[in-house]
Amino acid sequence: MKRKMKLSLIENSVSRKTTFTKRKKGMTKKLTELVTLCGVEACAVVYSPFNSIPEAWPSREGVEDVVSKFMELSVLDRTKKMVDQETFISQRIAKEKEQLQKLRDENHNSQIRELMFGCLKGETNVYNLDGRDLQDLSLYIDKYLNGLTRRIEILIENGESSSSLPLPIVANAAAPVGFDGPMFQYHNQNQQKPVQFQYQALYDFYDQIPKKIHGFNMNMNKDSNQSMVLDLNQNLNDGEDEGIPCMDNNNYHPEIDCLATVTTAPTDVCAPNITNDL
Amino acid sequence: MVKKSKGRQKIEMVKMKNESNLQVTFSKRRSGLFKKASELCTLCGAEVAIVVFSPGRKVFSFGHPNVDSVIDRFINNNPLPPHQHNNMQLRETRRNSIVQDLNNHLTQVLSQLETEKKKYDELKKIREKTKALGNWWEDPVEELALSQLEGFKGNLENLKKVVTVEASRFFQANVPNFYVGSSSNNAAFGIDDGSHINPDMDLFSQRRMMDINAFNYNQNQIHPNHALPPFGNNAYGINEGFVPEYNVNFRPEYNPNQNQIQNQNQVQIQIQNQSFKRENISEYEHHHGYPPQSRSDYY
Repeated sequence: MKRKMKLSLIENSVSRKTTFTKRKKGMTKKLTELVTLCGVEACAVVYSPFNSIPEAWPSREGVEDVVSKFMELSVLDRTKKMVDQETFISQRIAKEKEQLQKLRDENHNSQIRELMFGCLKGETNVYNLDGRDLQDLSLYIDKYLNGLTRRIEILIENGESSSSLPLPIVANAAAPVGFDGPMFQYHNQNQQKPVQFQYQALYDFYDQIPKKIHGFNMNMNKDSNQSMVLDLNQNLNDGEDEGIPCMDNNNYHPEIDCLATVTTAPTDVCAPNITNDL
Repeated sequence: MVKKSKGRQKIEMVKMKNESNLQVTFSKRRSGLFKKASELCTLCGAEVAIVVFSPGRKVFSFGHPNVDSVIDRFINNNPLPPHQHNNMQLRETRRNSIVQDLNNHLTQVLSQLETEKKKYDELKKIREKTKALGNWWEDPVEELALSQLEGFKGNLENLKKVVTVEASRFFQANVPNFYVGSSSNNAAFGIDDGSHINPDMDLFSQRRMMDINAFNYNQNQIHPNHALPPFGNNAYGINEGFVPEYNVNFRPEYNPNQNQIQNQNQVQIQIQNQSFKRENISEYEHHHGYPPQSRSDYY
């Protein structure tokens, strides 16, 4: 199994020498392939820490030929494409970083796309996302909507240019059931809000009715027999028994008189109300 | 078997005929060659110089420490490294240090790149799995019919609205709440009721997070209490208007509503203590027990 080599000087001298021999051979092989495939001229000179005599490829004479051509060029031409190890590694880092950023962006787009379809299918809940994801998702939906809109316009234009008959058929085509199911469920979630709103409206409507009803009831009590008045008293008594007398009376009867009379007798609470109404 | 890409594929070791392919091959292989040379210098401390003329007769060269010094040494047939002064030794040390840092940085970037590639493969598998399910709405836009596009667009617009609201709420969560202790809260509630829905939801959430006093609490709780009873009381009211004798039925009808209110309170007020619950129920009962005049006074 191939082992990840650390890019630094090999500590072990024997291991370093062995690696040098192997890698030098591999490098010269690659140089040979390059020259053969592309039909170009090249040379290499390698000085080893272990050997004072340099290795020359293809040969000493070959190197001298290429070097002489190299020297004939102007200094500008020679140095334009010349790199040392420092420069070469820097260039390589920049290239790899660019590739990394491109791949990251692509991955992010894929994730947002999966997120969007997850929300549409009801698998993902929008309310669980954080701010950054929400913004990215919003931007992606905008982009996708633009694509959809443009596509729809193209199809409509094509439809208009042809006869009018095919267009209604396409418009009437039913969407597959498999897609409607999840989307319909999601659509219901939106519908819940109007329902709540209707509740508010109903409440406003109800708020006006009790006053009229109670007024009517009191009028009847005035004109009708004693039993109706007794029913009213019963309701009052039940109300008092259910709650905390002092607190409730404070809420509904700010007058001091009512508060004072609570401790004396329960029935007296009813009498002042009737008197006030009369 | 013909492969889609040229990865791990042996080629004939002869001069290429296609000119553009030759250019691309030269560029890639030259880069790979220089990479190998750089690694050789780093790992084994060797000095290397490589000179390559491109098919376009341009010259590319790589050297460590640099091309000129190695070539000069070779041409002059100098077997030993040139005598180095202290200044040159210092420069050599500094250069090695810089190269080491660059190599470390390169290693980091390469490992990050590998992580992203794994992620890419995972996402690719997910996409292929989804495609196998046959969900047509995940196909490219160009493959969909007009009716599908329009339906899809509507659903996507709904999702967009929800996402926008959530994003704005997320932003507002970091902004001070101006409604705390303000009486205009009810006014805002009333106004928004008539206009549209989303801000209503937002305001409701804000109210739930408020440090409300007793008055605000009661004010908010009355509305949900009356959301359900209107139906029952409405029927009772109508009966009362047309058939006075049915007044005796008021108490039996009252109990179911009370149960509904209790359940609603339990659901909506999870942290509410007992006294508040009793007080709330009592208020509701008294609304029906007292004459309209008291009700008006309360509001």
